[in-house]
Amino acid sequence: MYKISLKNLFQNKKRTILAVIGLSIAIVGLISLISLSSGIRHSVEESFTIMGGIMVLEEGATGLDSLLTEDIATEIERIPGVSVVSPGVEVMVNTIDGEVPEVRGPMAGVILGIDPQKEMERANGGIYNQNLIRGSFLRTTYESSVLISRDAAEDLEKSVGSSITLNGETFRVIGIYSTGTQFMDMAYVVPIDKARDMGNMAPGESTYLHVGVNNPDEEDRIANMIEFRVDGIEAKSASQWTDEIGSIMDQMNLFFLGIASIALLVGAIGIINTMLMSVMERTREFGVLKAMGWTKENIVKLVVLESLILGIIGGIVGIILGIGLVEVAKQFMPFQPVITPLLVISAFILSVILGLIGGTYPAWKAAQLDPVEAIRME
Amino acid sequence: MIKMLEGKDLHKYFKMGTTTVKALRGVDITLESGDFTFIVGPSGSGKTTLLDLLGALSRPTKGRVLYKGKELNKFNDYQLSMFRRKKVGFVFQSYNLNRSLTALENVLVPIQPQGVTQKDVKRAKKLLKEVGLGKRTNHKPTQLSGGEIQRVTVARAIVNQPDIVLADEPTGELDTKTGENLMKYMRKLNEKKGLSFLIVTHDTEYIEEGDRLIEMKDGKLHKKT
Repeated sequence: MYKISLKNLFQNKKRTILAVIGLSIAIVGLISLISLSSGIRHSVEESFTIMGGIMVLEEGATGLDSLLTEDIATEIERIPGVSVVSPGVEVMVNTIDGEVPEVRGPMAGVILGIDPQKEMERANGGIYNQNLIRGSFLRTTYESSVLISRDAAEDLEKSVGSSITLNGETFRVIGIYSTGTQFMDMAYVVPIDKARDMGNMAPGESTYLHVGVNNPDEEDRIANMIEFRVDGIEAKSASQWTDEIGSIMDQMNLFFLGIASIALLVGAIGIINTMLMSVMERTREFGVLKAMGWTKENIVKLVVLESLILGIIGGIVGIILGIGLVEVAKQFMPFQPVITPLLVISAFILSVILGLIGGTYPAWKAAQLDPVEAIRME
Repeated sequence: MIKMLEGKDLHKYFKMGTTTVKALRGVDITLESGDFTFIVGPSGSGKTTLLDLLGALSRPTKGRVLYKGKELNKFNDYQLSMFRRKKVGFVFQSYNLNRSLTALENVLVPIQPQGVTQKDVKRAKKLLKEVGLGKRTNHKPTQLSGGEIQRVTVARAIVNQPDIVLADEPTGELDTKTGENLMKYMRKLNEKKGLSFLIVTHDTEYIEEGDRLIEMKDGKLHKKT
């Protein structure tokens, strides 16, 4: 019977193709939005895990807008269990070698000012220090040296010894690093006082503080202690940040799912419409089938099979296009969208279910047709 | 001769807005195995309605249809479907073939619900050969002439080896020569296989001596010969 269904579907190719496009667009939307969200989550979580320790930001700040004064760092240093407080200054990249980067905003990269000494005191010896693949680490807080990521070195054709001008300030590349996480690899790492100059920040001020602790098991407790002792800041351990980001991502996922659901609903309506039109046009055919002894169940099966095939084709096309779109998008994103087998399987099952649901009502309509009226319908 | 299909005091009324149309007003008819029967009569005389009732496409308002003594009124929807599938074959006036299927696939459509076997395919090919379409099994309806299409519908009507074929104006859309040829094929099937035919027609020129003839008028049997 599937052969008849397939042939029936391709009797009106344009209508079938339109229904498939409708459904596959919805599946493309679902795959790209969910993979984007999973990619962001994965990348952020990975960054926090590598970073370890406690991250301190100004209360209510989301990143670059945070500003912490020196006395905050001093106060935190006095808290028992704290081993090191390493400040960081972040400045957005506006120009590289005098040219405005193709990608604007944070995705163009960030100038990250660090205190090399403090960084090396951290438990992991400083992320950029530990992940140097060529050259050497920064030595002082005010030198015209920069560490750049391997990706940046490839893109900008730089190597150790090259010079690079960031926001009009010229640096010499002294090291190339690769942390393996996209967010962290977006940094042009410079001495902290250079970054303060570039960001018009006063000495001692920073964007964030990275707090190392003596006992990693006490990170959460000490983070709470910092928040309790110091006003106007937010202090969270890597796992607490991960949880918070996770809950934000859950909300984002819900939002994305909402958008995808609307697209899926439109796709399902497309299938219902296609199948209803098809049933209406083939009224006489169904009458003849009944005259030939086809039962209501046989007719339901035929129509549902047709819409099921639409669902399967729409699903496969949508998955292929979705994966293709994500692969293309990867080239322009600072993080990698993640397409899991579960996402692909779920998208396929969803399109099959939509195919089934979309065909049920038209199939029921076809099965209810009176054979005498249907056969002699003009 | 065995009594195959019987209609007893058949009435069929249709509601058309506020008025009731009495299409059949008490028809008694008996069809025996091996019969080649024509029903003739003016438009609106109830010929097609009678055919629909005898083929279990609709139920009578009053009266009974019996198949080999069994009352079809007592059959449920599923049993009626099985009756139509196995005991009756239909040929309609319009070319009711599926345009996306080949001649052979169209002939096999009645068998689809129970699953098509190689034996069925062989039988369908043989039937197409018998109606003169042995070389056109893979042609689609758009590649066939009107006469060829009707011969495919005849082959489709008998693929499940029914006891009787009910044909409603089978030559209605054919020219005289093609109509004659189709009728010839049906007679051949009647003679060779003993298959019964009940044919509703306007064209009395196809009726030959020895055929049963039933004339209808105003929803009643007017004359039987």
